[in-house]
Amino acid sequence: MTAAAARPAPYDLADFRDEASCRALAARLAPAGIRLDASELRLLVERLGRTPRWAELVIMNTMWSEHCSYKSTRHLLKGLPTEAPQVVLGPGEDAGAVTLGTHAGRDWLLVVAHESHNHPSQVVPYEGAATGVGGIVRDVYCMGAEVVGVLDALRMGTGRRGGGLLAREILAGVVGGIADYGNALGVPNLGGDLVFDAGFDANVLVNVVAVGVVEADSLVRSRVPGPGDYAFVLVGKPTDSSGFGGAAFSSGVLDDSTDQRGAVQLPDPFLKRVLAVANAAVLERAKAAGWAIGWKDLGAGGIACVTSELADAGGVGVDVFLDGAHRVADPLPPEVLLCAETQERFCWVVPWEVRDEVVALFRDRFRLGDIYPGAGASVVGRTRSDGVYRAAWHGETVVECPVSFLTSGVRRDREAIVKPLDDEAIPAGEAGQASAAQLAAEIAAALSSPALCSRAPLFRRYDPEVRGVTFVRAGEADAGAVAPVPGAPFGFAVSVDGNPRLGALDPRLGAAFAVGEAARNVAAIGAYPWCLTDCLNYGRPEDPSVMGALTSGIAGLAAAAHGLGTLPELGIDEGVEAWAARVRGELPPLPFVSGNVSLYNEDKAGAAIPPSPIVACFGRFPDVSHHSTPGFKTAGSVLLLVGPPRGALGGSVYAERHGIAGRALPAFAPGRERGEIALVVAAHARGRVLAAHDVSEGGVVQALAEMSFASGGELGFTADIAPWTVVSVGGVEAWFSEEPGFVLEVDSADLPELEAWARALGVSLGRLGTVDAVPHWRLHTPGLDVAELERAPLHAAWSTALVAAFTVSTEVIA
Amino acid sequence: MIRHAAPTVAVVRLPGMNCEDETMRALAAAGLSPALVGWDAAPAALEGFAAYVLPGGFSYQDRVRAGAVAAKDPRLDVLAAAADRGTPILGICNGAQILVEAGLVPGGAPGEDRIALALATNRLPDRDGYLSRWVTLEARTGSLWTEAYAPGERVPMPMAHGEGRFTARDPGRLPELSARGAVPFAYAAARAGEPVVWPDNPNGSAADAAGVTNAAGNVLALMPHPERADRLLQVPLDLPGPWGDRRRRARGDVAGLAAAGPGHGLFLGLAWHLGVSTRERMEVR
Repeated sequence: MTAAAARPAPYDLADFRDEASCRALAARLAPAGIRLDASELRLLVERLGRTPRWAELVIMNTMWSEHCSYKSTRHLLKGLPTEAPQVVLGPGEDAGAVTLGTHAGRDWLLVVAHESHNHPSQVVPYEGAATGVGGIVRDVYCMGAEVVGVLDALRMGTGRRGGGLLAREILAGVVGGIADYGNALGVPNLGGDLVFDAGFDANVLVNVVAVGVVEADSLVRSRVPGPGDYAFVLVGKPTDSSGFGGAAFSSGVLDDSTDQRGAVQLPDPFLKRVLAVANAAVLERAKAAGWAIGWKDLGAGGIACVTSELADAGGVGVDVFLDGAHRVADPLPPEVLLCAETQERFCWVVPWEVRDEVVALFRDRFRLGDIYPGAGASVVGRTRSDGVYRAAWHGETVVECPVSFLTSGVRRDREAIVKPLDDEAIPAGEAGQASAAQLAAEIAAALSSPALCSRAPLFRRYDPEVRGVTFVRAGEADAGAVAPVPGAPFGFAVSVDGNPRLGALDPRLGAAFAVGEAARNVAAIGAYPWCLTDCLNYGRPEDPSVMGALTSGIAGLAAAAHGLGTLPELGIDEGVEAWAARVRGELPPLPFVSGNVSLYNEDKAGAAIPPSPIVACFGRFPDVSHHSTPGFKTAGSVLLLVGPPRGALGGSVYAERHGIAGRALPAFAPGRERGEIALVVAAHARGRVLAAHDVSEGGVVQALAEMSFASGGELGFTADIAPWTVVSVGGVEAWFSEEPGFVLEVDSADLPELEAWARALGVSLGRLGTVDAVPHWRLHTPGLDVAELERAPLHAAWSTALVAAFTVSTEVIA
Repeated sequence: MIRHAAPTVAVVRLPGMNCEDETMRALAAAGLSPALVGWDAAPAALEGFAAYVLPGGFSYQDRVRAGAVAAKDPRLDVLAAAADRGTPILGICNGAQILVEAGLVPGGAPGEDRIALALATNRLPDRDGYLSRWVTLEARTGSLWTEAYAPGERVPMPMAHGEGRFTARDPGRLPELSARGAVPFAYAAARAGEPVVWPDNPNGSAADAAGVTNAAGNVLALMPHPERADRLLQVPLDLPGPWGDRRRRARGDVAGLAAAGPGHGLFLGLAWHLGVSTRERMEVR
């Protein structure tokens, strides 16, 4: 038997000598999964000053992928506001952190993370979505936090265009993966959204969000604590070759030329749960013993990425001993050991002298190897003071360079062309219904359409309340809500949103609306919008129009975040009018604290997905008892509509259903949005809201229908849209327009006060109707007879329509 | 006044379980002293507790079947011996699956085949498998576990499982168990007297069984989650019925929302059985 040796590099220095030779080399390396282009190969040699070893080149292939390096977008993302007083940790680490509240002398933080798992979910939907959840919860765990919720934003195709898997197969697989992972891990699903659009036929989007809580003094950073002697302890699943090249895979276009399923990682929530228990014991021990520690999860780039980033962030170097890593029995070459993306692994940095104790905790106390074949803990590295990254394998040096060489990014300046908006492209059609009967029929059809039907068939596959701290479940309201610290009065709400129809019509407006809707959703249940995360899902950055849309999208996100601002908390004894003056003044922005960019989302012909910035907003409740849900509570109470006259149908579900351009797009006026959100939050804080719902997809009539459906007492309503009807378009459009706003159910005795608060905030507030004791809807529309509908049959159709998306042919979805 | 130390209840954590924190909170709220005993402790560490709870989750990854591997864990021998001595043992969701797989429920005479029931895949109208939703249970008298409830009281709480359909080889077995009081919790219509239809019985369980005990009644395998309905804040704001009404009336009252929820009665019944003297009674309406 001969000793294995590292694979020699399939090139020499001459291959890097000029542009032409680098192009030839790039072409030669492409079949091996190397996606570095000629200019990047040149840069590699220039920075290194010598021929890269094979393992070094493989590492850089990952580290300089879009997925890891954000090379086309990092400089653009600087346009997003990230600073506000509540921010403890902004973008840069695995997750962001903001203050949440103080209880019994202890300060608690909210830890949030958001990313995509789009390409894996397209190729192997179940595993792709499951590892998406698995990856995002690791990002929150490794800040030292308990994970208390996940959400998922799904953008699915309609099956109208050709693709590999059918839309329903992908949806069923994705939902199964999310359910099986989160349920088994014991993390509640707090919500998410689902949009069907033909633009995602060949490239679905699966965005995942995780949220956790940690005491402020227990927040763990992803870095070597400083100079000194530290061990890198790898824990979890044995390293195998799964996911090798995953980061590079997600930074390329999906095509049929090669089977890419091997690049997807394999999920294991059971092992993750076992690790969570053992990791918590390490944290406890470290706190008690006063160990300085660092902690980071293994994701893209595997051991190479985690060790180099931990060392670089701590300003030190590292010796990596690949032979020490626990791994599967198959022989793995060093570049695979370094870069494989095997799931369910973490890397601890602990003082060198306690390394054996930490390893024993996993191996002996929690018996990882007995519970899960091959799982364990092993010492894979040791800090060195000279800033050098050295990886050894079988006595051979396979990587040796400054740490900063691995972690220093690369920037690509892409051409961006902002296309003029072509709202003339589709002729405006006739929107109006001629009779009340036609209006009623349209409402019934819309309610059972894939766009607007209930998402309960999906949410019922997820566990919404494991951990026992959820108090508003997924699908129960506009946002999910949790009181994560038992005994403490504070809590949080969260919603994730993004409308690809608007994004396609106007990338900047679509992005602003994503922020606006997410913020409205947390406000609708009574929470103060507190921070944001985003995932920017776009096509290929080499396409100037894609970069134009991306640039516009970032501008839209920034404008909305500045415009909405972080609302000040309404003081217990403060008058709302006085508070309104503070709200209308200068406020810190609503900060983005974490995020992700996903590029190369396109079909085989190179057509990009609709520009899809997806935004999560986290809201804060100083006191969780001041929350509401959309369900009508009391017969005879008053319905109010917060928001301006409603004419625009552009980007609406109604316009899509009828194939019309809808004349105009709804406006995003940040000042008005801020005032409306402030009014709704203040009305909750003062106990004046019985029920609330935001007006978004489907318009005012959809909001009213859902409030009636959610009502425990099966209450109905009478409503009149006349005050919001724009003369030029007519009443029917006002019911379906997706101009933003809120519907509130309030006690009539509270009306004068609410009107005064609305005036102080400069907000339009009007009386829309009443809640009725009978399960019956009456809609008054200018120029039409009263449209009357019965709740029960509509409820049955709305509740079950999505089942068809799982069980019948995709034509039904379309 | 003489104060006695609260009886200590072991919450057994096997690998993959995930409901231990909220289960411990619910026990503490009933005046009991919960102790977490994990798989990192020797089986002998489980000796001597006043009662045991196997919480929910996915022990041993649901390998083979839910609960099948955990039922072979040596810790279950300790629990079986305690069960025979009359020590109260509660299995919730995955814990219930383990008790059934281990034969502690419905139990039987020594030497008899104790494994008489199974928790099969949920049967739903349009599909089979996992379902999460709030259900209504009927609390039946004659069990230590329902002592704090009024006879026939309607108790809402959530269920969240894929395999929760009580079934037996002999189709007469569950009705027989029910007739002799071994089904203290049954799926029910929200209002007494109404027929039990889907989704009242959410999984097709025989005899509408939600929780089944051994013959002595001290071991309960319960599929829904009382620990997720232990406080009023955990009850859905739009839930119909008296518990929903109580939740809605507590709007703006953070202390009121921290008061007992419908699931609390089960833990209270256990506490009373273990001699915890409390003036607290579940308010019945």
